[in-house]
Amino acid sequence: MSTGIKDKVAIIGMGCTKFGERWDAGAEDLMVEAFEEAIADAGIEKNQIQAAWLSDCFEEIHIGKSALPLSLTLRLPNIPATRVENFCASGTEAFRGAVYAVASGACDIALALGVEKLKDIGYGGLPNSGSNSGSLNWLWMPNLTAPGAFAQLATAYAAKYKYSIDDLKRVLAHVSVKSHANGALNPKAHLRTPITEDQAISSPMVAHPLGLYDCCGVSDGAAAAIVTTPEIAKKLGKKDLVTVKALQLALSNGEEVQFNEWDSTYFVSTSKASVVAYKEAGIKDPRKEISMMELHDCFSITELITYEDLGISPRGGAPKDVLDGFFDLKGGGVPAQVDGGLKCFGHPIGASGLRMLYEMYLQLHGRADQRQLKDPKLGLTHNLGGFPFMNVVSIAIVGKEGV
Amino acid sequence: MEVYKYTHPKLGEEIEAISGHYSTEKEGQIDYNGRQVCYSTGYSIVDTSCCGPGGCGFAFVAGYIVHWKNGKDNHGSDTSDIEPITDSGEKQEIRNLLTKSVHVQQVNFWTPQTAVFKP
Amino acid sequence: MVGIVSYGGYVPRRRLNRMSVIQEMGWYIPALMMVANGERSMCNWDEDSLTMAVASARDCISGFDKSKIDGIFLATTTPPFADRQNSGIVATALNLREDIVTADFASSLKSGTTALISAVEALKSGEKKNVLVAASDHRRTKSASFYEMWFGDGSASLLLGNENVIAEYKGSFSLSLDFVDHYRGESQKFDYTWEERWIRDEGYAKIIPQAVNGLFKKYGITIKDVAKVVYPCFISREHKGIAKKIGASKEQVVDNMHEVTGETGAAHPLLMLTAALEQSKPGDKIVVASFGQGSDALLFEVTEHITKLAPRRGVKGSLENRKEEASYAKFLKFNDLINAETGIRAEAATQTALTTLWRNKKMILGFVGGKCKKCGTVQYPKTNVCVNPKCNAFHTQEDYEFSDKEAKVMSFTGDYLAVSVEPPVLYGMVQFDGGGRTLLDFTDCDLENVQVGQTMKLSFRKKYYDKDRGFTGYFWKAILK
Repeated sequence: MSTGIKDKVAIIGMGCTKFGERWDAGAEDLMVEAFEEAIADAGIEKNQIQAAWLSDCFEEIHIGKSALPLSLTLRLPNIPATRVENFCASGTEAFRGAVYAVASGACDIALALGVEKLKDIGYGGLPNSGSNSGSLNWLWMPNLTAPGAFAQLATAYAAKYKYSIDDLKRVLAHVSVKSHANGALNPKAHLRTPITEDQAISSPMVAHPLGLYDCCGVSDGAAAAIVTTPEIAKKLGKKDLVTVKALQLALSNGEEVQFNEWDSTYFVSTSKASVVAYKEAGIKDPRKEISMMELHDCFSITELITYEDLGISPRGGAPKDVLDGFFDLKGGGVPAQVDGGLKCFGHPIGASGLRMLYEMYLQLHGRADQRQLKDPKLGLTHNLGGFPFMNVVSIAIVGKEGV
Repeated sequence: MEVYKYTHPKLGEEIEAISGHYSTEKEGQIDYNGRQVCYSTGYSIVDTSCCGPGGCGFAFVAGYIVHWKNGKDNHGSDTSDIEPITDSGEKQEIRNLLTKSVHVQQVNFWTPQTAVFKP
Repeated sequence: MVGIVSYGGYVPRRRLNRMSVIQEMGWYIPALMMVANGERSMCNWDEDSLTMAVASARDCISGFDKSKIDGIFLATTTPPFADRQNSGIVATALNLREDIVTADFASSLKSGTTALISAVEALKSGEKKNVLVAASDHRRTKSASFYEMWFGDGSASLLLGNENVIAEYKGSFSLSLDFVDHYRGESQKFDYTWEERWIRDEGYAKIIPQAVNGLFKKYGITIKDVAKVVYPCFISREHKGIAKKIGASKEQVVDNMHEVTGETGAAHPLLMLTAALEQSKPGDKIVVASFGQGSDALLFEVTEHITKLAPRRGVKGSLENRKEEASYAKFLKFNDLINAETGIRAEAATQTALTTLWRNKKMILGFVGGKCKKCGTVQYPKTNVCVNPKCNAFHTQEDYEFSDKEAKVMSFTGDYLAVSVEPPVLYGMVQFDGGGRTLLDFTDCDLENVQVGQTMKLSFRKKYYDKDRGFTGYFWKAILK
């Protein structure tokens, strides 16, 4: 009988680089930048780390295969190191590896580090893998991009819940304005420009009905976490521990795209992962118990629908919560994208999961400066890699020890 | 039809987003069904979206002019009384007119945020 | 009785208004104006001679039991592969039996009629019962050339057999003459052509009458016994001149289609024959002659069965499904005649794993999915484990053909970011009537004409072109019904 991960592991140090177009830094520089902050925060020596996990998604354009780039860059003392990749959930996967290693008793202190250096491709956006995306995929998968795929979610959602596209666009504009307001308060964010709803609504379309402000960009960056058991953390003199409450992952199995039921208005995997995560964390009413969230807002519509998949808003009810300001920083509800989210903090794929946890960690320790929420207890992070019809979803919940 | 205060965009100002930027360059009017329609044109560049580069010339249609530049907003920008275009048939015809006359690839229509929407 | 059992046609939906060539290039070659009347058919960027052959072949065999087809002959001067049997790709796309004969007839504009004669001979020997002949051409021409104006893209297919024959084969007469009006050397993209007056006077004007008269003499008939005469000649005035030489009246001569499609190469005699069959009545004798290093002349007699042939697209339907293309620049881009920027993003790897293709040939080329023997769920693609969550049985799937099924659009988008020859890229999820769903690229439709719930059908198209290796990848896309 599994007992779950709740309170078995504590985060004792975290670091995160400034995200952005880091023309000045290679992947190695970014890894060092994140690691130095994390190890200083943990107050331990490098040789106390007994195992490490490295995450990235497009290793072919920066660090190459294996975890050697981590071991070489940080000159780790010949300890086990593993590279993981699971689309946009990669960063949370690295964290999961480190947390499980500590929880199992296999080691005392472990490192998770995620990095992505995307601005070495020669063109904007993510790399185009062409026939390297899988020899069979290449032969038949449509020539699609993410905005196009997520735009279909928006039109289906509007149709099902009888929102006009114009009204839905106003809701999405609010989602975006809120994230930009939060990002503007964050010195490490890629984009620190507040926007108005008018600017968001009148911005040109990228894929109808998603406009320029509904889409995230690409960034360079790295983030790291050092984890151990609560007992060891206390021995190291740590107080007000931030512990892991739940770590869940759910992957599509092809039903959405091949079977005849899914209606393109929700994420099957998020809906399933959230239920399991709440059970693991002992959460009964997420709308009341979750203090804050970092969701995978690759597109405004993803964030909107995820509110429902997470059980924070009822089905079809997220637009009302959005316009009521329920997810705003000072809206009195469950603030989301507290650090600016993917759309403003940035999205170096392999680092994003750890970046989200970094904000939760800062908030739980009261170190989030202008963004600081009043006495948060539980924070939820969410990643979604892939497409609405076929994806990898991770959910992590962290919080104060004893909550 | 309801009339709303429309704030005219600042021409030539680059509006930055994480996945690119856009800029409104010109403002114009066309005659449609005997009424004057106010629109603006500009370009957008999507150069750092996670999904690839793109961009286009666009037109943004505010709506039928009721009173032209009869006020200012808090930031000193001109405002007009505008009746937004909501009918999909009218939208399509205006879209066709603009696509031909001003060589844009995209025509979008204004929805005022003050319009009542209570989900 | 041996003869034609069915016909099918395909002309790409886009028609280039020839005046658009004059508009852009008239300053350069003013004489082009002489042939600028009407429009020419043009392949979409994802079409070639092979995709058009599949389209006309599907039209031709619709309503027939395709398991009875014993062979496919494909005639084209523009095969996508110099060595990889092109007719074999057509056979796989049609998901025909494996124990059939396939052959490419190539390198001459008369290869279409030669394939017809060979098919008839295979039937007469009794070895074969039904043979499909598909002819198709997508000829590349230099910009602002007369040939760009004269040529068009298209395909026609004829099913030959010995039951329910709609036009009985009565005989043929062939000439093989190494008359080189044009040629295309091994390494060349474009034809090299000799003086037009010589081609006209010594070529068309002599060789076609020689073949037709040879046929008449061989079978003891005269032009008066014939209802219709089909022969190509893109010089419209000379097309009429040949009629005079063989004594045919205006009513007997089938239009050369210059104003509606242009000349479709090896397919043209068959395309014109199909157009003639569409307007024929029982008892009509039809002569069809080709031109290309000689000529084949064939004689058919239409039977009572023509009235029973189920309605099909044919040439008439193909001509009606038309979209005018006013942009000459698009024609140039689609035919790779201008070096337009594609960006570094388009430099991605484009290799085809031939092992993967072989294992999945039915899925990719034939659009064959699976049906679960246990729960009856149909799905695409066919997989080892049934997709139905209540079943999930292992190894229960039998082949299930989707290519002729109609589907409804569930969701779709127009994507301006995806790399494309003609943005926006249209794609979406479709739900097949009878079950199964998948994501597909849409083609030959405009964003403003697509709606959720709309009925789509499938079309075999180019998926990608690997220019480093010269390999064309094919797959299926959704088109408006």
